[in-house]
Amino acid sequence: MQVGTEQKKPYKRMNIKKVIVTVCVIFVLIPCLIALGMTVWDDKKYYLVSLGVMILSVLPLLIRFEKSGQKAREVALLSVMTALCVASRAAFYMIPQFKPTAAIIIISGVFFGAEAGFTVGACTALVSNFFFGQGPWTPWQMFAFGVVGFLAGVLFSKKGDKNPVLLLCIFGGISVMFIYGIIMDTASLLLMSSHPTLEGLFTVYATGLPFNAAHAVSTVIFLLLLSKPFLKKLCRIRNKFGIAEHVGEQ
Amino acid sequence: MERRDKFSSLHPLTQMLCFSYVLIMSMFVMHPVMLFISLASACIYALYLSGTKKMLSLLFAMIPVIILTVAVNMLFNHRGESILFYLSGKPVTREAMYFGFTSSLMLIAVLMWFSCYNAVMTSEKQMYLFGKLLPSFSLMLTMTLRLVPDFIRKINEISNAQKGFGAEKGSSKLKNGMSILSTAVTCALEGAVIRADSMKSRGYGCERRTQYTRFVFKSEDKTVSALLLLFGAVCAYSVIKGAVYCEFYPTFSVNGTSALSITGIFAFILFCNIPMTLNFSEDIKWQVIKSRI
Amino acid sequence: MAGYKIENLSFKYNLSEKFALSDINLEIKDGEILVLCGKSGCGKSTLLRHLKSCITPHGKRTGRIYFDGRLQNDVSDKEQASRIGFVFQHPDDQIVTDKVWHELAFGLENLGENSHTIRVRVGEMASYFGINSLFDMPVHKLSGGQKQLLNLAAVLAMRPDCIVLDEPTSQLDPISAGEFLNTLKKINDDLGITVVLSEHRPEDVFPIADRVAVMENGRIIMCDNPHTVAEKTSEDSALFPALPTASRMYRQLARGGTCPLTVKEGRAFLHSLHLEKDSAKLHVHIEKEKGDTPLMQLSECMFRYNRNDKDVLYNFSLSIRGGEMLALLGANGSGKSTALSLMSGVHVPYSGRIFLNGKKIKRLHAEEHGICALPQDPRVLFTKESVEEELQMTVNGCEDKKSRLAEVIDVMELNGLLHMHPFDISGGEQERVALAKVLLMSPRIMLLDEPTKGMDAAFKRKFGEYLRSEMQKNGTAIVIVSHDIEFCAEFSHRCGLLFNGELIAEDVPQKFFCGNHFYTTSANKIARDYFPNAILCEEVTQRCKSALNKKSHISE
Repeated sequence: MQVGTEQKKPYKRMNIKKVIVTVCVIFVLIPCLIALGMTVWDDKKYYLVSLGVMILSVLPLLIRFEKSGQKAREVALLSVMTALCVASRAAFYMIPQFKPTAAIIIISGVFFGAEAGFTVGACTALVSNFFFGQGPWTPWQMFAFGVVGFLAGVLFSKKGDKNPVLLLCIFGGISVMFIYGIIMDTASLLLMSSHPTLEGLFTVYATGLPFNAAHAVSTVIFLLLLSKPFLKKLCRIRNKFGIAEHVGEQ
Repeated sequence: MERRDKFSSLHPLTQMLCFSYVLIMSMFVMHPVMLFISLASACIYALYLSGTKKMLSLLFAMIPVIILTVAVNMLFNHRGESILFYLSGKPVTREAMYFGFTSSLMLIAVLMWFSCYNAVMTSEKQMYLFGKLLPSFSLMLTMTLRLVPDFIRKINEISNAQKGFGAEKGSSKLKNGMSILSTAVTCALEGAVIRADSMKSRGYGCERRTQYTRFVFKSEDKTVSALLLLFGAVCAYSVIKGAVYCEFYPTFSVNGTSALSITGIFAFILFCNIPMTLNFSEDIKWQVIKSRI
Repeated sequence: MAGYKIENLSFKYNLSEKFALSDINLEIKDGEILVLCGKSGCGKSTLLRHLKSCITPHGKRTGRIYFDGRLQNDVSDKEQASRIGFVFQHPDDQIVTDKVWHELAFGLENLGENSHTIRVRVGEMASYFGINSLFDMPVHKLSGGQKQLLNLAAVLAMRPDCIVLDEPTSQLDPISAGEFLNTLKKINDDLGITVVLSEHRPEDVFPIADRVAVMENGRIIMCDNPHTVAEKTSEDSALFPALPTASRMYRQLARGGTCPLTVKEGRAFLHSLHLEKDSAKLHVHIEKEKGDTPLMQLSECMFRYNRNDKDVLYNFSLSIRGGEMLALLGANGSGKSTALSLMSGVHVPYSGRIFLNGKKIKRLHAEEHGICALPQDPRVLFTKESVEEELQMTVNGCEDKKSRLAEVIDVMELNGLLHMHPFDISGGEQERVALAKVLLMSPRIMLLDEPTKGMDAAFKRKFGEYLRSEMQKNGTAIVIVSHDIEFCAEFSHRCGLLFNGELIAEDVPQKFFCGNHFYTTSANKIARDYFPNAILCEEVTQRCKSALNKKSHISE
């Protein structure tokens, strides 16, 4: 009696169609919602509308994660990755902007794919705020970290651990600077002023620039240091899971 | 100064109803009176939950937020009729200043309510609420929460062990840190292999998961939720009808004298203070019980 | 009704040439406690994992397994999940959720039970185990023993008919291990749950076992009740030194009757020999304090982790000479490991002095002062991808250390493991690799925290002998912290008892253990009435033999 065939590719990657649908949700549906909010509430409740938008964009992805029927090992590994992110955020608590969190989220996206990257990012923001305190910034952070992880998955997950480190670093720097940074800066502006102007937006971005740059540089440094050994370790664990893979229903 | 908060012992759904309504209302209604009520109630509740010292320090920490908010609004909003002065050719208006103050009132009210939220809504309650909608995600939250302190302890243990082993000689601090991290990550990932087995062996994935909760929706939860819904609806009605409304531009004007608006504001006061009312009635009840003994 | 029947089971891992299990035939009866014994790597874990299909490893398998009279493959995963419980070795890694109550409920949630049912079962379980007070605790605040009990309770909450445990006590100290085994015995007696467990320290489990199966190289070589197994195990097999002390005494004296397993039975056995009480004082050979200054001396050290905490070490003084082994014994939390961390310079006492070679030292540095400490969890020392790299890194390319490397690899029996990843080998093997690393550092002072945990009895002896030769050859000083009383009694020069952070007793092993009433070796407990000064099994049997000889002379 021969049992069990080894799975060659233990991790499902998202197919292109799914990616397009998800991207549509994020980049098309949401602007529509914003426009709707503007017309109905004659453009006064920016923060509330944007908060709704954040939640609406985080939810479908999390529901997708939910529906995909996660296996035990995926949940176990993703929770370890998230815990690493949260712990690293806590460990570097004293040094503002110098955190490996984004780097580990990107690595998760690269290795586990876009959806998982988003989940790790969103989960990291949520859980670390269990420790640091929730606030109006939580949904924004979930979204911002989630998008970083998601994009890392979309762009790099095909090659997994064979991606050149340099490319990852460039992506890391850019995504932290221009995606995470800009999302969070916009959030703080919207929170402070319910009548944002372009001028105000630019000023906030300008003042946020040094902080975002520091964050981006630290992410690049951590990616440079961590990505290779980290991906190697993850590959080893994947192989170990492959061998220990259960016999299955015969 | 640890006091038992009656509101905390209610069902998380009731608590979430209260917090989300108050937060949304505070963000939605830019009305100084409403925001002041919201802030004052939040402060009183925070005082009860975390003591004077913590509440005051939190309030002081918000002063720069107020200044920043007012400044941002005055500098970048040039609408409004009464011009105070010109700054590098751009008008700075009184309306923008009023708006800035109202915004900052909103901001600190929101932050204050969040500080109450963080004290009342333990991670267990938040995970319960998430689990209603997203059970796997909620499971992941639980597992993460369990791993974080473990991981931090492991890092400590590894760093001590390597120090005691005496192999740090001649290697830089960075290299040392990296090797500590490397070992910790390997340990954590190895743990995941066993944890996955342990999950499978306890039936994970062979049935749709249910969520066990220790929270029961009691009759007092029903009463409190009904009250919250009633006050909330009255207040929301008067807001939607335009009875509680404040205009900033072009001139500052507040409406809030009609019967409907006063009813709405009164309902909001009642709503915001339900947690404290519960606490006081509980305190009185205990006083009575004590005096009988 | 939940027994197993295993017929002609053979199994081979995909990447390996050798059969991990070959031709296993075993029947596990409903409601019995079956113990699997054998050296590490003999296939115990592989066999246990076959008892539950969702965690069976990949590979080529032949043969049949019947559970409850049905072919295992016909029993659904859900049914197996609830009816067969599995407890793994590491208490920490198998806990899934963050709170005790949630962990108890986890399995039931997976089975789709409703909240009401779960509440009843979880409450029932917590009451049965007496862990009500822990119910709200986050799991990271529990001790190792409590964690393992929680794992057992979490599995039992699913109401299994059979539980399988893979070396459940190997990471626990003897006291927690004893508690855990008692609980197992209790649930077996009370509820009739079938228990299958593997164990590398048979001394503790023989008394509670109904049957013992002995494995060697993937085969079951013997399966019988523990008395018979203790009786039949050949003296040169690896299992023999691991047998309970009473059984070994019985075997060495070869006097007939049933083989005793526990201390109580051992005493009865000795009593049946009608020996004369030995009133003569044993001549304890005590070397006079040598004149040379001690290698390391701690004087009146105090330590606590935080300003407002309790003192972990209080007025702690100790000295250790070259070529000497000092064993520190004591309960959990008495400050043993903290004492080691002070000696290795990891922590600094807030008051007290430390001398090295008679010179006062302000700040100890492990690498500077030739000190090397073995941590409790060997895994925390591993940073490389293979065992070989791990050892090479420690040698650091020194040519003259090559012969030393070969010697250590040989002594620690690491030859077959060199190409393996240090995290892929078993717990006992990891301990050996970590020890090899410590030995390769050739320190002047070696600090070992629980070095014998996870070692089988035969290897333990070899290891002790090697440490002894090391001390004689190089004048190394060794401080060991251990719960393994037998090992300390045999190999250490001095033993100390720590209580509440204070060293309350210290003496040569003979005097130390003879003076203790409770905290002493099993051999001493068994033979105390006849030979109050004997602390090792061999001493007792020697003296028994001579006493019996004398008796037979007289009667002639």
